[in-house]
Amino acid sequence: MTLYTVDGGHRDRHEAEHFALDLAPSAVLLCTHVVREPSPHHAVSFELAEADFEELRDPEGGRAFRFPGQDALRGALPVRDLVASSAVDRVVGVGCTVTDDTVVDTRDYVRPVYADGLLTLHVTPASAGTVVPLEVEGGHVC
Amino acid sequence: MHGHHHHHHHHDGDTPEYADLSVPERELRPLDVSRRRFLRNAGLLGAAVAGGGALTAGTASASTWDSPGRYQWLAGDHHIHTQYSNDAMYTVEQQVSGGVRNGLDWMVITDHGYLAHEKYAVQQTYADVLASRRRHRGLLLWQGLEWNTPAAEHATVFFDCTRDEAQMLQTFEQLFDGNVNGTNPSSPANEAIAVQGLKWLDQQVRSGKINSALFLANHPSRNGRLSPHELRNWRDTAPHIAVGMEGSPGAQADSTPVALGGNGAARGGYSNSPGVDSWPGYPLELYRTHGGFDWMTAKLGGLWDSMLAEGKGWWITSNSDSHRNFGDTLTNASPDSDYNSTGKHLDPVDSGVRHSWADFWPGQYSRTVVGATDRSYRAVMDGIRNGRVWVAMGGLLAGLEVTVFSDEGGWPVTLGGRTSVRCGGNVTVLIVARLATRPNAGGSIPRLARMDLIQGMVTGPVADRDTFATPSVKVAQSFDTRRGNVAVFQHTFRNVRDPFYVRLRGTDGNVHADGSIEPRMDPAGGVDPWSDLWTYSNPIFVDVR
Repeated sequence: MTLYTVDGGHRDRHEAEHFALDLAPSAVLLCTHVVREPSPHHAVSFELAEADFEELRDPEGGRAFRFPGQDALRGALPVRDLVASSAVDRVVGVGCTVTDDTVVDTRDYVRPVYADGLLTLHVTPASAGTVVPLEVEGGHVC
Repeated sequence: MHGHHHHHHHHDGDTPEYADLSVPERELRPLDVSRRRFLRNAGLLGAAVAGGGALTAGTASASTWDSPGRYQWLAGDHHIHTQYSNDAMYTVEQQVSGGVRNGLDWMVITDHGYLAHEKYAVQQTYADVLASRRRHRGLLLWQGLEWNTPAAEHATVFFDCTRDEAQMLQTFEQLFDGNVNGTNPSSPANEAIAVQGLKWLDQQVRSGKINSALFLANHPSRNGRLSPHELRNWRDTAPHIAVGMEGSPGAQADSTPVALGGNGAARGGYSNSPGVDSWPGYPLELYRTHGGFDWMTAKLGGLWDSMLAEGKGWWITSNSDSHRNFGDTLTNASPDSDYNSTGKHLDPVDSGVRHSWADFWPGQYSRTVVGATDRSYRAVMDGIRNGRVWVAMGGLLAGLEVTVFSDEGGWPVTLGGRTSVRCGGNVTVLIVARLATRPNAGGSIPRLARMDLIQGMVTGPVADRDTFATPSVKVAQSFDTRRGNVAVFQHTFRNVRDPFYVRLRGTDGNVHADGSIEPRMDPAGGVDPWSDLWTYSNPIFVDVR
């Protein structure tokens, strides 16, 4: 499998996701990538066996909105199970430390990012000792 | 609205800076501050002081004594939305009477910059503001703008203006608002437009079209898009206008647990993660509040401290950002399409149901308390400009009087001030905290458990303008509060050899980061905002001669 990238110049992340899914409906790993120049926008990448797109050398910073095992990440589950059942390589605490036993309340919405070459789910503390993904569905913007 | 006229005196090279009142006092060397005060006392600067306006520091009265007792400490809020915002609903008068009910002395209406706002709303708002001014004698009410600062975050902008204030506001919005002009995306070109906007404001002040203007960055970390160099660029472009940022964001009710009738969402509405416009250098901790405060302020030795370590003023405030207030039964009457064609939502209607809205009323939870020489528009703006400001959540403090003096009989200074000491001398900080004696709007009498005296070394300009940390910041002393209505703390820095600043941070002591006295990152899924209260003061600088 090879990672390919296409820059459609999308300012809106949802539009970029639609764009990627239209280009590569069969892909099981798809990411959005922030590109700062010339003006901030999103490029996309996806994994395919063979395609006529530019190859992506380094997925660093890519945010996976589709990835293998995503469907298993529902409800609350320990870090150990989350990593075992999906393409997520590791879970990293922001403002907290996590162990294999830490329970992640996925809120049915998991969007890991490539950091240090690993598909990483950043989590923040939640009440009741659990953690939740840093990226929240439908964040507050105004 | 205000009967004074100003004539500005520009620094022309013949006049020494200390005699040139267009140079703010906080930019003078300590010796020159003394010289200016001497001239002022001798009556030699009196006429000029009367016309000093916004380019000077605010100490217009002929006194040499800058202790907290010189000032009226007036509580206010510079971030309030009305039905003239695309995403809010209250009438001006509903917000104003809400603020008055919650004990505020001053308020700034800040509806969002927006095409329909610029076209239709500014003048309508002004009519309502004039009516509310007439109704509430003694209240200071501005019409400002929540400026979509190009390439950056939202910011409060407001003027002190004898006439045509709404027209000036509308012109500014038309020329420089990021929503109106499509200049919101982060880019060097759009950053330059933000700087142009500040320069334009500066020109209006210098030409006498407006008496003064203030700019304060709102919810600075919410989207991680406000880079350290943008803050520094604004400050250095217009140090008498771009004076600070919100230390804590509004929307503090958003985290109210579901069990208490709330949203159980993020405190301050800070639930974002890096987005397309975010500055990539920040740690992810920035995207959440810490004890309800923005990371830039709450992080000890963080971005705010790194700016103060340059020896320049940069001040914090706390506001409601009220759009819809927690527990209110009022709800929006009209859809967005109506707003787009009129610049106004219909007056809200009573739904009969208490809503779990995210905000508090102005003054209900967060307050910005300003030391003003008198109860006037100009004096409050001068107080903010000079950093004579402390903030508190949930009525944690009823009053805060801070005095800093050196042991050689120099004049004492208070918040935002600058004093000096001979190398090797001693500097004393005297803190009088007036504790809450009445229940807050959450229904309990908050108790200040601890006050931290924070010391940061002044190390001068930064080589990298994106610096967001400084190493030499520490809690010099923590004071525990005992019984009584007044707590008095004192600390002396001995054998002072290097310039520094001090600032204060207090807490009800309920919640801390694990094993630490630092504020905790607010967890997802619900925090009762009344259960974790903090108060912060602005700094006082100490120079060494």
